[in-house]
Amino acid sequence: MNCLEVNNVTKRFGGLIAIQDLNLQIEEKELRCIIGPNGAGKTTLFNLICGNLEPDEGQILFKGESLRGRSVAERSCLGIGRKFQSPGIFGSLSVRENLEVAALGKASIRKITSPRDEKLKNRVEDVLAKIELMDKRDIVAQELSHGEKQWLEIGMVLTSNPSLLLLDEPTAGMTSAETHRTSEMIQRICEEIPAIVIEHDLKFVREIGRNITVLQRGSVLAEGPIDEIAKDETVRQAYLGRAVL
Amino acid sequence: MEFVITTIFNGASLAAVLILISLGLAIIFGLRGVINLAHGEFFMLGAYTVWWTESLGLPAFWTGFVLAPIVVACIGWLIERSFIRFLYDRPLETLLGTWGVSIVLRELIRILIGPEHRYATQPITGQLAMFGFEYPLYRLAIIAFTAVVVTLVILLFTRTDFGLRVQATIRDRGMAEAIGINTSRIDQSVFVLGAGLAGLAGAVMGPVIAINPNMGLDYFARTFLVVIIGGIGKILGVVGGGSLIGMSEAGFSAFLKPVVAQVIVLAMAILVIRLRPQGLFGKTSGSAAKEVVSGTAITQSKGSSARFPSLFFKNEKYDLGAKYVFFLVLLAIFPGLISSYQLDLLSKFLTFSMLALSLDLIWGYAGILSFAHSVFFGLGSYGLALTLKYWGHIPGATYIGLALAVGLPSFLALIIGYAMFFRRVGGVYFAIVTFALGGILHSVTIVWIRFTGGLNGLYGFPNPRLGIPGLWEVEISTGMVSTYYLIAAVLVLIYILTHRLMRSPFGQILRAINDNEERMESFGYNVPAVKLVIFVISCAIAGISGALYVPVGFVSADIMGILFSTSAIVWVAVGGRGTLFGAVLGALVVNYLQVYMSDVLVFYWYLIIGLFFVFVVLVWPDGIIGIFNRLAQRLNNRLKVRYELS
Repeated sequence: MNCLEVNNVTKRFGGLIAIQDLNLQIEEKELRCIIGPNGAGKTTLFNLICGNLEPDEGQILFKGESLRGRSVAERSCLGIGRKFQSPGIFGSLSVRENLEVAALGKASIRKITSPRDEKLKNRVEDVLAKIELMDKRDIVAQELSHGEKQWLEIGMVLTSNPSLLLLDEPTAGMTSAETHRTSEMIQRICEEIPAIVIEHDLKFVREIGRNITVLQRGSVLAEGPIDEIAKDETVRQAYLGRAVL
Repeated sequence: MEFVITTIFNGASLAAVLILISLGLAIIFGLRGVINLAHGEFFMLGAYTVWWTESLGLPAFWTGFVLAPIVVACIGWLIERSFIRFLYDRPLETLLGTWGVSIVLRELIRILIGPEHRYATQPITGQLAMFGFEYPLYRLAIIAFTAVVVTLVILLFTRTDFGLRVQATIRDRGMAEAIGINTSRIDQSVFVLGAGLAGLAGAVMGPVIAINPNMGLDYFARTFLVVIIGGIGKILGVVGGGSLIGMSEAGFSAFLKPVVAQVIVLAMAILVIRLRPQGLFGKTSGSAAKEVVSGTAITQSKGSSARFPSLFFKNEKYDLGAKYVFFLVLLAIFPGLISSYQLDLLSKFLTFSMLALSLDLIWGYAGILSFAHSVFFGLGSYGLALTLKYWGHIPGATYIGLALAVGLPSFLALIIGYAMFFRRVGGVYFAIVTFALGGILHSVTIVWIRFTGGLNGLYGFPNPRLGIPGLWEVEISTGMVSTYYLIAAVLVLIYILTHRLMRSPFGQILRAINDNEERMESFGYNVPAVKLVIFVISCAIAGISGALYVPVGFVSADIMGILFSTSAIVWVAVGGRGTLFGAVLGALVVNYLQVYMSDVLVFYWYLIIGLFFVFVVLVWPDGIIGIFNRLAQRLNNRLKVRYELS
């Protein structure tokens, strides 16, 4: 069974068709990159999956279950974890505290008001190791560099134990060294959890080197391994002038 | 018939006054999301200008009438330039700062001109006779004048070039700047205009009311309600809100005591906020004001209330170390060192420490500023004291009293918190509602002398008794060491409990909510519920501290007052927001300072507090503990450098 299935989904905003008859399958443990020019519908797709928007036509299945009518919070509880484009971290809390707060969102009031248990501590330690911020765990989050804030944000999504990760431009604004580290980090994380990554940075996409989906004007323009896509003439045209591919 | 018409006219003239005062407040709020707590004092200064010109022998009222808006506008301009313009992006701090300005203005008038009531002569005397009854002509003139002023202000904002620029600035400040509007100039002009309007209102009202330093406060709470009910940033909303409040207050006053009428109006206002947070007449208002309502604007003001490591140690693990042992030993041995008068004083201050601690829980951690915390303290005190007064002879009355002392504040907190938080009313808006709440409940306590003793206080009720009712009882009274130990023990216990709570993830969650409410919701937190929980806990603790105050302090209307609330805010600000220990310490330091200052300084005490507020918001946001921390940090760094060098 596929982890996520987007079947013939269409979304209109008034006269504008943002997503048109889109199909997308994400398998268990798959890491999929989505690229596409501005306005291709990438973020709209995420909004549809997360429940900020409902599709006008078609359906979205998560682990075989239809998501229609479920709220953002419900879908988050089902295991869809989303990292937004701009970091939404809590500046006055330490890195560790940020992760703890993210982990306790669905916890009972008793758990919240009693001292942290071992399980929580272990989970946080685990995530700290994954996002490589172990030695910065007691630093106040607003003092982190931009790249580190992005990693922390990824970590915050991870602590809520998602079974599908949606990452919206995780490397936006990063230096190339940071981008490299991020791609390694994401690959390691995705050994366990399937993920969809929206990305503009083609170098990053190349580094990850898995299947990619190219969106254009709300539908899939091409899909397949990076090398095939790179040769595709229509994709080259969509990215006119971007010889990076 | 005559009765009905008189009531309607009374309502209309009260409405006119409220509208005239609220106008300036509303336009400043609409533009910048800044609530000017000194607005009532601008009104007062307008009235004093009229009195002043008259006492100089100038052609009576009319000179003052022209002069008042000009004088007050100039004062407003000075304050905006020297102070408020630095605070526009920090709405909550502005609240504190302008409250400081308000205290300073009030105290300056009290010191320079005196606290006595002054009177100005009415320029228009005589009555208008119609339908067989008479009504003062001057009051009718006020109604007509208000209509003219409102029309002019509306025309100014809708029909002139200046109005267009203001609108553009409200919509999008950055864009307005990009097309060449000097937004800082706009801020200035609107503030000056608002101040001038308040001055004008003062001039108009001067001849019909007793002019005194506190007159602004009397009107201010209601002015807030007008702006809130009317819908923020809407001039016509102010007219609607003013009419509604003026009319209903006059209507209720015709049958009920004025105080009861005010309480009903307050309850109505809170209901309105629960049902329509954007106000009765507002749709979606200007962006700044909207942010203020939802509390998102507060997130910009982080830096100051942000993060506070412990006093001496950077590492949390050693936190329960030296400072607590030191403090506990001091608390334990004090009774042997000092006189019983001193012991009473300390006991009283310890109850204040507890109040400061409870305020710090909501203000320092969750960023909820309450101007009515004294009300919860007062409810605790009155809950116990009145139970003792009426049922003191029944064994175990103390326990009933204590239950009330915790129950009443918690219940009120539950109602207020439910009405506000679940409607996403936070930040500045919440603070204002508590301000109105405090103001009105204070005046109820003053006027309801038969029950509360008013400003003279409650006398002659039996002391509380603890122990087993009817079998073995211990009296808790002044001058007893056991009373002191009881208070100290409760304080320590509450400190330990709240400290543990704040160290648990709950404390983090509060700080995270203070940082970014929306993000917390996306993680699945029920943010309003969390806020409600901490607010009720805080108010219950305030109630306990109020109950403990009964045997060592003097229960009168003063402990319900806004000035007492203000003092509590000062204690927390001095000690350092967001550190419980700081709050406890701050209350002790400030109160001892107040006691040991010479009489001269006592005379200027509130002036000093006012200036302190201004000082705190501008340069000293994190209190005593903050200074310690910065010193410790610097020392730490230096040691580290030395260590690394060696």
